[in-house]
Amino acid sequence: METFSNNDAFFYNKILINKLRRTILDEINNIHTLKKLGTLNKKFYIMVREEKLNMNYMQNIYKNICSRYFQCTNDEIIDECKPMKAAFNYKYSLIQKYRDIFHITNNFYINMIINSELRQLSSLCQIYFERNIKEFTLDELSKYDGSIGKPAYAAVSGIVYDISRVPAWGGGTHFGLIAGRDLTAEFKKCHDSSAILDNIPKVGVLA
Amino acid sequence: MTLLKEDLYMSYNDKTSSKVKELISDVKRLEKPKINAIWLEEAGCSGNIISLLDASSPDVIYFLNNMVNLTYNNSIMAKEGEKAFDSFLKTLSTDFILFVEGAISTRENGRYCTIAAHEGREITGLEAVKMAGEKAKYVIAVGTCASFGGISAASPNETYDISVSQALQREVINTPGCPCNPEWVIGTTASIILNGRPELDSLNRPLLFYGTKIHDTCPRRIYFEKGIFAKSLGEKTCMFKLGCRGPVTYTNCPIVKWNGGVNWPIGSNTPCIGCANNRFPDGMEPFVRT
Repeated sequence: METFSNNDAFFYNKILINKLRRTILDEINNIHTLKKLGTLNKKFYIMVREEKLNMNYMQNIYKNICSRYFQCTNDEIIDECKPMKAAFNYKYSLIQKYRDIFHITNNFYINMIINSELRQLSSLCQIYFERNIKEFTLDELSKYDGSIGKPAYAAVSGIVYDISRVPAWGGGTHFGLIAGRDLTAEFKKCHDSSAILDNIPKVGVLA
Repeated sequence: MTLLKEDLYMSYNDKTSSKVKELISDVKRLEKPKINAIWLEEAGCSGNIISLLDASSPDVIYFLNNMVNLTYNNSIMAKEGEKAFDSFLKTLSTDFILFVEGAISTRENGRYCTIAAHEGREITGLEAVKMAGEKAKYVIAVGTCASFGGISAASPNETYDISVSQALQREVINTPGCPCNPEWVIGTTASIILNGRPELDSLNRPLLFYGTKIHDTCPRRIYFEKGIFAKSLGEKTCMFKLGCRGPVTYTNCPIVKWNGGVNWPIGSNTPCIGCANNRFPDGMEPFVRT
């Protein structure tokens, strides 16, 4: 970290976080595949269920990534920062402003961001580990179509959502679509961002 | 959602309702000159003109006496044949508002909807709406068919029906609804006469009438929040599980209601079918989820 100038540290960190996030998601997906194959490492499963260990696990991954990416040269990082700088311009200017006023060190921000990211990631992990994850086959999913007051579930990108109480899904139907299916393609056709899915209860994953 | 927010919506819509009454009475009080109007019926079911004739406060007599000088309507005017269409042509050279109900048939250059015969020539709806649409001061698409294609353009759409805004290269004020509530047509007209172009949303609907979701002002909203759902038609609770489209439809139905404010679908224990939605009817099916 010391090899970078103050200005770039923030953006560098943002990139780092993205990579961290991707790695953790990869790990989660791996567990998911392992579980599918019936060879899930139980120890690991129990470990990530414990919140404290969960954090340790994350931090281990974080350390791994650090050791991997800290080797990058300054130029490589600056190249990667360019699009980030434009996107976070406003946020960045604010941080600059307060940094000068309160004499806050870079580490403070970096830790703050890492912590908030880790918190988000651990809540993401809850879907997989802390809840009773249920695996749905497409056949099973089709039973939850919202007819005659039944619950309405639909899958987007492998996650099964409970849309029984989503206002736009009256009776498990939504603009000609019927619940109980994998609607990934339809979702992507009509919604730019998946942020609207964040508040919808998740009930499991597609097998 | 808390009750507080609902109350806010409610007071907002109460305001709009009184605002409409204010607008309509202002037209008479300020003695604004009447503006010519053409009400063109295209590929539709005459539902919107019948809805207008059924208007109660104000009624259609007030509308015709104080607000517009209706020179042409191919469904209910007294003149017939060439004479009727002559008055259509005569109006084109004046300042006028064009009301269009029904979608525009485009198959075989519009021959599936012929509205008049003039000097030995058949006038198609497509031709008439283009003639009048280019010259009109304002174009108001009345009803869902005219606004978005609606039932006329529903699958398989054999006559290749399109909405008025697709047929005309200009701004069209959409007042969807199946039929359009008379308060929405008369209110929009009053708003135009007094203040010009009304404030429109992204689908060109006047915000005054289409600014809030039905779901947000629904008198049965509390049942939705508490999770008390009707299992069959006729139950006096939230009909969300029966496929109610109130949460995706923007109108002030809960306030103005229908048949002169007597009742509305939810009040008679049937779900909203989203008739004022731009995806009606194909995207709103099934109307009742079983």
